[in-house]
Amino acid sequence: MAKNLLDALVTKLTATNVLNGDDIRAILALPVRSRRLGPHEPVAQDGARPDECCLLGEGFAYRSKNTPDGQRQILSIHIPGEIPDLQSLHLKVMDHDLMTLSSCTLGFIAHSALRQLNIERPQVAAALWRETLVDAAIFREWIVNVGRRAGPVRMSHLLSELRLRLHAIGRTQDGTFDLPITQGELGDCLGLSTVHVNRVLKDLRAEGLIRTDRAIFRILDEEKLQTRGQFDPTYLHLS
Amino acid sequence: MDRWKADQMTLYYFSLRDNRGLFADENGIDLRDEAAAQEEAARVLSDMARDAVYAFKGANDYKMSVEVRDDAGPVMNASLTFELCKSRD
Repeated sequence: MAKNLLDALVTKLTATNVLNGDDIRAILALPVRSRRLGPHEPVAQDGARPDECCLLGEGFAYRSKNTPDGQRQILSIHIPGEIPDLQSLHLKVMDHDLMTLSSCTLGFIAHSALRQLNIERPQVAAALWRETLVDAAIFREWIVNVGRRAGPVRMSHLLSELRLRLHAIGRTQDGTFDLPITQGELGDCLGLSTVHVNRVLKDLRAEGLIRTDRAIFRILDEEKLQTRGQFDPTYLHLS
Repeated sequence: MDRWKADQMTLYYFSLRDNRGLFADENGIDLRDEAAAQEEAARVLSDMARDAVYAFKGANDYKMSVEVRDDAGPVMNASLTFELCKSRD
C-alpha cells in the first residue's frame, strides 16, 4: 500500500521534474501511514495544526473555505500524487479545509520525515517547492475564472484543466476521465448555482464539446473546449 | 447538505427562461425548505444576468425568469428584466 502511494508521488513529481535514482529511492523510502476515507470527509480542517502531510494516492480531494453564512467556495481540486496540504510543513495552522471528493487512499507522511528528505535531497526539495508554486499558479487562474468569465467559459476552463492534469499522470483514456463530482460541487468550484451548472453542462453537450455520464466526463473536442474556456495551459507548467 | 437529513428535504424543479429559450431542470434539487428554494432561484437569476452581459450584445431588453415547482405543483416564479433606454441616437 505504502509503495503504491509513494509511486503516485514519484509519477506526479517526475512528470515535470528531473529527479535521479537516489532522489527517487529516498522518496520511496519515506515512512507512510496509509488510510482510506470515504467521499466528503475532512482530511485536515481549517484551524487544525497537523504534524503530517497528506499524500493523495487514489481518488480526488479538494480544498475549500466556508463563509460564516454557510456558503462554500472550492479553491482547488486535487488528483493522485499531489500533497494538497504540503504548506502545513511550513505554515503551522490550516487556513482552509482539505476534504475528500471521492473515496480516497491517503498516505500521511510526518513533517519530520519530509524535513529530513528536503535536507538530504535538495532536488526533491526543489521539486516540492515547484509543486507549491504551480499550485499558486492554478489558484491565480481560478480567481480569473470565478471573477471574470461567463458560466460556460468557467466550466470549459475547469474541464480543460482537469483533463490536462490527469493526462500528465496517465489517468485519461481517449479524452475521458472519471470525476466523481456532484453538480453542487461543480457550482462551488465555479461560483455558480447548481441549477445554472446543469444548464451550462447542457449547453456544452449541445455544442458537441463534452458528453457526461454521471461521474464520467468525455471531452469530444479538446481544442474547441479550450477555446470556449479561454484556456491557455501555460500556468500548469507541464512542459 | 450533510447537516440535513434526506427525509427533511424537498425536491424542487427549476425552469429557466430567457431570450435564449427554455431550460427545464428535470432532475430537481433537494433543498430543505421554500426559503432555500427562493435563495437558489435568486442565485440562478443572478447567474443568468451575469452570463447575459456576455451574451446579449445589442439587444434592448433581456428578460430572465425562473419557475420553481415541487411534486405538488408550482411553488414560485421569480424574474429579472434588463431594459435599455438610450438617451440619444
